[in-house]
Amino acid sequence: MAVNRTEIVDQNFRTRVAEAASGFQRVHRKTDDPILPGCGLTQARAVELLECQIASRWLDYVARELKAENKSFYTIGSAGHEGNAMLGQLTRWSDPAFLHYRSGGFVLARARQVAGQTPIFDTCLGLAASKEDPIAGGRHKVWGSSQLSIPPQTSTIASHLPKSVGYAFFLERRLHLGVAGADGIPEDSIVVCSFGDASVNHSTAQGAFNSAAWASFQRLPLPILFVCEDNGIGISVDTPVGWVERSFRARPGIVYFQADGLSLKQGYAQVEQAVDFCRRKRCPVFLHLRTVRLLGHAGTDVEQTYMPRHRIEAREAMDPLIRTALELIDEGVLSSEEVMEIYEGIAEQVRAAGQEAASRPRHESADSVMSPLELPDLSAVPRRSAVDCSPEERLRFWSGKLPETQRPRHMAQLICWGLQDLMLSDEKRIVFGEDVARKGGVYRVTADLYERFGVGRVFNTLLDEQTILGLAIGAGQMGLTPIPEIQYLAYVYNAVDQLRGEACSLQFFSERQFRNPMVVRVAGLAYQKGFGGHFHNDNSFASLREIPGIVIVTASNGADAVRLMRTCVRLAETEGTVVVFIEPIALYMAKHLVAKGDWECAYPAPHEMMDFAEVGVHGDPKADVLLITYGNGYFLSRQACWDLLQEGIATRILELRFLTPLNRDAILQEARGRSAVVIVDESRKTGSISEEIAALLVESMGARTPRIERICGHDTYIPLGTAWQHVLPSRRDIYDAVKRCQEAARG
Amino acid sequence: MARIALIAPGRGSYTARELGYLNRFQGHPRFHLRKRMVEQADDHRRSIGRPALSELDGSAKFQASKHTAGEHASALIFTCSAADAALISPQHKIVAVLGNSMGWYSALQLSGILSFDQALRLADGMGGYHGGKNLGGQAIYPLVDSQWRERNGESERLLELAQEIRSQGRDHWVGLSIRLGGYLVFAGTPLGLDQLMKRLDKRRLGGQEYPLLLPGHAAFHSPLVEEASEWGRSHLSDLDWRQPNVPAIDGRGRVWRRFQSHPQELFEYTLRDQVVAPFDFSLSLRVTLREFSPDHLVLLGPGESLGGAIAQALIAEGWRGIRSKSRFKEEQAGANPILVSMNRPDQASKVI
Repeated sequence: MAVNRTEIVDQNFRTRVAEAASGFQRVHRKTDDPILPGCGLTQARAVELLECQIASRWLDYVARELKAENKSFYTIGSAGHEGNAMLGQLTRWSDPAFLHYRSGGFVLARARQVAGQTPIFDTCLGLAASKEDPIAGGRHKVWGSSQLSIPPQTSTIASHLPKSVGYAFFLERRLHLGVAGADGIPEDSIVVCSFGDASVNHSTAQGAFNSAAWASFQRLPLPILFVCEDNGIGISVDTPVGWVERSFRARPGIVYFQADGLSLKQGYAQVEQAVDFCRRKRCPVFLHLRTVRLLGHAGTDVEQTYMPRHRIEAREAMDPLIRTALELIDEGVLSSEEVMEIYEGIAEQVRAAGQEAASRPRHESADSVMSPLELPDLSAVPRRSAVDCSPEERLRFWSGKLPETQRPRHMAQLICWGLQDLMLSDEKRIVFGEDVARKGGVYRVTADLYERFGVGRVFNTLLDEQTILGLAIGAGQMGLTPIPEIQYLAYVYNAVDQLRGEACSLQFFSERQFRNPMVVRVAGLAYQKGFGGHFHNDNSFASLREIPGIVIVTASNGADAVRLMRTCVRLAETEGTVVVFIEPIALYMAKHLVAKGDWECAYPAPHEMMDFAEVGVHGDPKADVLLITYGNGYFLSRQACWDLLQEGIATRILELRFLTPLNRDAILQEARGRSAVVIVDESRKTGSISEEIAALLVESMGARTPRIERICGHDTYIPLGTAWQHVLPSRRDIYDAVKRCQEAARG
Repeated sequence: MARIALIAPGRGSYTARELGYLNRFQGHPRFHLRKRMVEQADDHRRSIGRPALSELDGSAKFQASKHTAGEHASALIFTCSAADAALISPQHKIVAVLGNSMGWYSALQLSGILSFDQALRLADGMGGYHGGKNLGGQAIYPLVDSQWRERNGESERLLELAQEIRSQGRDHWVGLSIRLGGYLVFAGTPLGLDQLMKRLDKRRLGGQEYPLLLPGHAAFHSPLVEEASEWGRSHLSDLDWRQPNVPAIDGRGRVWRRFQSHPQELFEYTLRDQVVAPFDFSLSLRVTLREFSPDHLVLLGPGESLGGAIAQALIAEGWRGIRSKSRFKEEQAGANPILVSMNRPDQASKVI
């Protein structure tokens, strides 16, 4: 029969505290008298830490008790990590904290800094997956609180580190942008970011450490306190002894501190020093906090299957709860009886809270679960243009030559002007990415921005997309509007979890209390002539489409791109939306569709915005055949339809600009009454939106579904040279498809 | 053994029905404790030249001008609450104490932070202070519907109205005084309150018409009584603040705990912060429920007028599935009511 280690750990505490009874001698102190020389650990603070540690432990025990009664759903606990309560006490409640899942002590101690907090019950609601859980609405058991500056984390793979770095970077950068204090975060705040010893090995974590060090190395302020809670094991795999210390002790740009998280006496002063150093020096600090994992990785993890009993017992003997209690008894602060009174009292509290929480309502419908993902009430998105500075200011900025008075230009130039107008209108908008500053981007889309707006708002990052998106999350949470650039669509994918697992999921796991507004500009899609290869011509965005809550857009010409960009920026700013704007590289410089200069556009006046979900329509409204397409596909369709028109064949084209979510109503409305629909989708046939459109037509129109033809990219990577022409839809393919449809309709 | 939280009422809880309250529970084995407290209180009252509480409580007739006046009501209410708490059976565990408004002074005594004598001095002193001046008044208005559920946006709407009136000038000051379950209590100058009374829609709830001016009340928990705070800070600076034996929850939802309560902070909060800033009884009860999850809330005497506000706070929390007035009444009619009112002998018998 399996031994119940919970009972053993509980009993160990009782026994060891009882054994200490005889050695107790009360030392009479005032509450704010220090109990240790040379540090701020007063009697009141020490007792508070003990209480928080005990409460954290009882939350673990009660989670398991409730699980046994089928009343709770989460048993990853904080047992052995309760020393992180020191950090909860020594950092400020207003210091943004991105915490890993063993942070009970931290949260309970931080909650003590703010009146009116109810962390015990709140945590129980999370354990019970009640929709009344105040942070995640029961969608995940997270440590989080909007009132305590703790954005919730669900990450078990250290994916919260890049955005923590981003947050710390903009904590300082905002001061230079003149938006200090806009969000009530004090100027000398620091970011706290905790994780386990096994997690430091994640490439995500390593990338974040590298970015922090890269910035710090060149003396950019980056006040982040990395807290590695080292319990020596990840699930069942031991961390090599000394690995974490050797890896971080001498890392350039990061200052290493070590503290014993198992003992107030041994650890408090060091934690205090690390926090103070980070706050004063505004540089990355790596606090290596010694902890021990008790009760296994989670309730379902039976340690005995991979760890010998003597090792389990040795770990249990290191229990920080026992240590804290004995230290307080030893220092004459609390008697054994008083410790046990606290212990039993908190046990009753947590058990009672657990039972009440378990009776609270859970989600009972998909709508209820998904409510934080609802798209904004589109009619409520202000129609006010994102370009709204005074005419005089604009005239001055453009030196009297307003872009809308210039001759038509290609898309790259128009987007460039559009970005400048956006930047001019609001100093909170910022642009960053690889080569976006002096170079102006690979395609010169960000040309002049650096010169016009300065390095504070337009800057190059290191070559790491994960960092770019992490910075974007941090900027958004700091109240800025990030407009980061990812150089090529293929590059998004080595960092996609920053969008998928972090930026987009945050609204879901925080009931929209935290949002990550951003407009990610990505140069993408294929058809580049003379600059080939997969990485620069990636034509698939399927991995983005499946992300709940994301908005993906594209445009095929400059004027649409500018209007759409203004809408996206407004959407991000008012709704906190994560928008990915895929700019078709091959159309950046396109000037001619079927006649010289007929694809160049005039710059839209500042008030012009694109409606959310707006589609474009072209051609004969009564045509038999409807083409549905976007991006390069639209450009090619327009050419093919021109060819057909020369033969007297009329067509209708529906251009999608919002790729996710699709404007389903517009698609159905345009398809109704047609004999055929040709879907021209330059992405791969598998996983492209052509599938969704076809399914929509069939599901909605049933027997009245028009004939459907899909002209898509082949299921392949894009090859080098001219070979790409064999795998992507062409003007001729589209022409042929329409002809086939016509023949089928006649036949 | 039950885990209980003690709740002490504030001003307005001693009415004609409570005359003789201190003499209740005469047959109780710990009645002598109650009696001793009254004697102590009487001694204090006489020493400062005010009528003894036994005399006031034992009057043949209730005189509103006398019994509800600050210099008498506060000490009466405080002593009734303390005297009720003295009867609580030691087999029950008191897990938290709290109070509404001047009930905070009672909570200080109930938690052991102040001795009975000192807390009485505090309640009597602060309650009785007028400085010879008009310190404004209070008015109450409901947020809830007939089932005691808060109407959407009502709180914000009312606070905006107060802000609007306030913007007319200093003599029109009116603002939040107490969040009291399903009610907001406003404090204000005579002109400010007058405007408020005129501009609030008339509403009936539980047979009472609102808005309602609270007779004899000063503008507690607002900057208008800054002078009272100053008086208290200079005349009550010698209070001996001790560590609580049980957690005390204040009007900001802060929990004052054993070994961790700094005397200076207690002094500052009690004699400044809570005097001149709003008192959030709803939040203090919420913290009590969510952090301490008591089996019973024990409403100390006198009276039980705070019971409605407590029920409304329970409904707001959905505690034990109570989400309406009718559900609350059902719960109360059962064998194990969550709210135990010392004013009701049948309920009091469960805890004394």
